[in-house]
Amino acid sequence: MSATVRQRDFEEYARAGRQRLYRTAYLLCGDREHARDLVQSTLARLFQHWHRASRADHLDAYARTVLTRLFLHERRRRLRDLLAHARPDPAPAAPRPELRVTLMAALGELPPRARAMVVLRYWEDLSVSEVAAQLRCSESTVKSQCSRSLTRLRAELGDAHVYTAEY
Amino acid sequence: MHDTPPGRPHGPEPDAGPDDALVGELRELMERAAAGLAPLPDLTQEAVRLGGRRRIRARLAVVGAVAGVLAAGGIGSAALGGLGSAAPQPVGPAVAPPTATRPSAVRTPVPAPSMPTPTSTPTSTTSSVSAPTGTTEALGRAEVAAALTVALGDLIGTVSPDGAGLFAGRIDGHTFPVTFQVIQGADALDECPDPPDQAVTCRTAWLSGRIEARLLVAGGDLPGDESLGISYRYLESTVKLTIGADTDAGVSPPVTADQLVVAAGSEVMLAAVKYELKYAARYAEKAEANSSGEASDSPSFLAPDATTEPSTAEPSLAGDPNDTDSASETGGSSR
Repeated sequence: MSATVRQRDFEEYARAGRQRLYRTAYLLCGDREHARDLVQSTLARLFQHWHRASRADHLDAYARTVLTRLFLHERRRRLRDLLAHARPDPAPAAPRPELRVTLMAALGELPPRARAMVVLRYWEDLSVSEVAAQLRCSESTVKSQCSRSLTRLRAELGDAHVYTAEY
Repeated sequence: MHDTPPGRPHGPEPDAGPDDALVGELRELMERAAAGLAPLPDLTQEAVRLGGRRRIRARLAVVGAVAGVLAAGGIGSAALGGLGSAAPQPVGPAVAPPTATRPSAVRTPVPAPSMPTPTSTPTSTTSSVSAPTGTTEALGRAEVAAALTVALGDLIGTVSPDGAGLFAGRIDGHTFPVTFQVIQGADALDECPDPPDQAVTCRTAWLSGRIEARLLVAGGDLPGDESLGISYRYLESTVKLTIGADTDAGVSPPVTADQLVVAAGSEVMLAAVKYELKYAARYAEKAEANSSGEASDSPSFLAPDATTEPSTAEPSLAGDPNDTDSASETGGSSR
């Protein structure tokens, strides 16, 4: 396959899949700008490795894996910067209705890895084993983390169903 | 419903238990929040630009790192140019085609261990020095490649010279880049980074239970992007051996960290290091003697050496028992 054809295939995929990646990225990051950057980085990585990415059994899953790992990598890097230097970039509040603020605030209370588990498990509908494989941890870790996260979300969201009804 | 890949339908999960209601609510909230996002602008062209740049950088990284180490090491006693190319200069000439105008005075036409030196050296002449130099370099690199093949037990297939200062193992249609360096005079073994680098795992290993080494495994975030490296101090030098992934095919080298430890500590590799150091020392003596004595303008000071002192021009692994074994293994596999 020529480089031109490969690039065309990539562009086709990127245009079709970017919004889906953006949504997942947004739920992971809790911020649109960061989510956009994350999608940009993910697409760049995909193009960098398009030769093999395009041959993946499940290209969407491949892209999601890249996205999730980049997210976690970025969070760890920021944490290191925080520990090494000074204040982190304060996560800008989402300038959106209460629903989004509430949900994002609740998700934002979770550690990045736990948040990724919740998003992958309940937004992406991945099975426990799939989440475990993607995050390279055991299934029991996924189960326990998700359980703990749900408990925290319940406390954070409280009467979120009100927003659900009103939105 | 969001446009995720087809998966299980939303609904209670076996592991959700009493959280069923919350899970359902959470999903609903996430869907609504994500659905409210404005369309993302087209990032494709920028992704192509960035991805292309990353691809090029990744391909250059190995070469750049190697060149950097050589430059920092100064003495350049790297086996990258082959066992017979340990000259105190960059690796370029080691792979450049031999020419009569090349300043080959700084190159040593040392025969590779397996070369029949007694018959070849007397025939050397000034005018023909360049060609043998290139030949011996090529043979020296082949010797290194053969040593790597033997040491790695064919895990990455037959290793052969592959471009400027690099080697490559080829197996099952995949190509795995390999570097092997011997750097004289380095002070101490680098410690593992603390805190550890995110993209690299580092640990201490022991070669043959006696030589301390640092073992690094990089990548792994993506399928097939893992590479391994090991460095250790041996005979007042630092030895570095790396094996990279087949980035085009996205395949990590079929070598485990433990296997790399075994390979790096194998007799054939240690013998190769010894040989390299022995050669470098002899070269240094000759270079010094040449610069203080003759200061010749001849195209090469190597021809006299090659003709009058064949013993110094043929550093051989046959010098000690271990080297002898190594020489036979190496030579045998390279031919």
